[in-house]
Amino acid sequence: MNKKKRDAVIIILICNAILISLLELIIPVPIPIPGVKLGLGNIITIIAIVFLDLKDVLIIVFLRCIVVAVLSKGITVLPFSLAGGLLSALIMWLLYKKMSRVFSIKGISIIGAITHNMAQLTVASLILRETVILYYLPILLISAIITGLITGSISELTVREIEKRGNFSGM
Amino acid sequence: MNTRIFKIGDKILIVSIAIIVVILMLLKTVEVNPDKQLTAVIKQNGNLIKQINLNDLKNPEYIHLNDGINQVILAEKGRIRFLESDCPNQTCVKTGWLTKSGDKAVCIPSKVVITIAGYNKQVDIFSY
Repeated sequence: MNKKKRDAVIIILICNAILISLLELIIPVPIPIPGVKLGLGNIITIIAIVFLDLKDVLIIVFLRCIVVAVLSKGITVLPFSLAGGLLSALIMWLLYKKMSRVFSIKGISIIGAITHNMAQLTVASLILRETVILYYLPILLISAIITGLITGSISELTVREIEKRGNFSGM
Repeated sequence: MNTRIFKIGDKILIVSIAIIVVILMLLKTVEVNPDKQLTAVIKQNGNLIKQINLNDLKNPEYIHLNDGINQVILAEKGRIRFLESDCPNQTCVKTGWLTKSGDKAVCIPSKVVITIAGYNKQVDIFSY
């Protein structure tokens, strides 16, 4: 029973992550900088980190990245979203498990956004065969604070609501 | 768990990032020197495609690239931009004009990077 509930929760989170990431594509990005976006899929990643194991978190991020890439911009963006998504999920999981006293979910989300951006810049530099990291770093750091705070606050509210209702209990 | 509250790490994090950003921005502005020659460097896949001296340009120059993705780059006196591109998200075109040394426009699908390199006039004798 527990295993089944856990699987159901994983599937629900994957579907939500895909839907949210696709909906996000409708929101126009005001600055023409490659890699700047809200990263709403991050909300689901954080919820998964709070309630599930690292393995399940990585599965959710992996499947979300693949489906969203296929359905939207095509397979060429996959290295970017996978590198950013998986690395930031890993870092956020470590921070949540080891450093929750120091960082709230908002702080963890900001660090996740920074990790995501850095990973994407590294992939971009490898693909372009030119270092673009330093050039885009300031604007991407600022955008990471803003988007990380937004998604982190939403995640924090959602996590608290789920805990209060006990939806994910008994897994 | 109060969602309004920032923990100590959050505050340190935000403040330190703000400081890093300010330092990076300052370094960037210090580099810009108006007396420099503006040279646009167009690279694809890490290989040099074309190098244009934007100060000496009399007539607008169109550079057509066709390596899987059709692209048109427009160079005028003192500025350069991606004019058209067949790439899906058009980030390169939306970047607009590059006018100062250090400016960069990137198109990831076609792997094209335009950078404005500023060379001091004295050093400009170096040959390529």
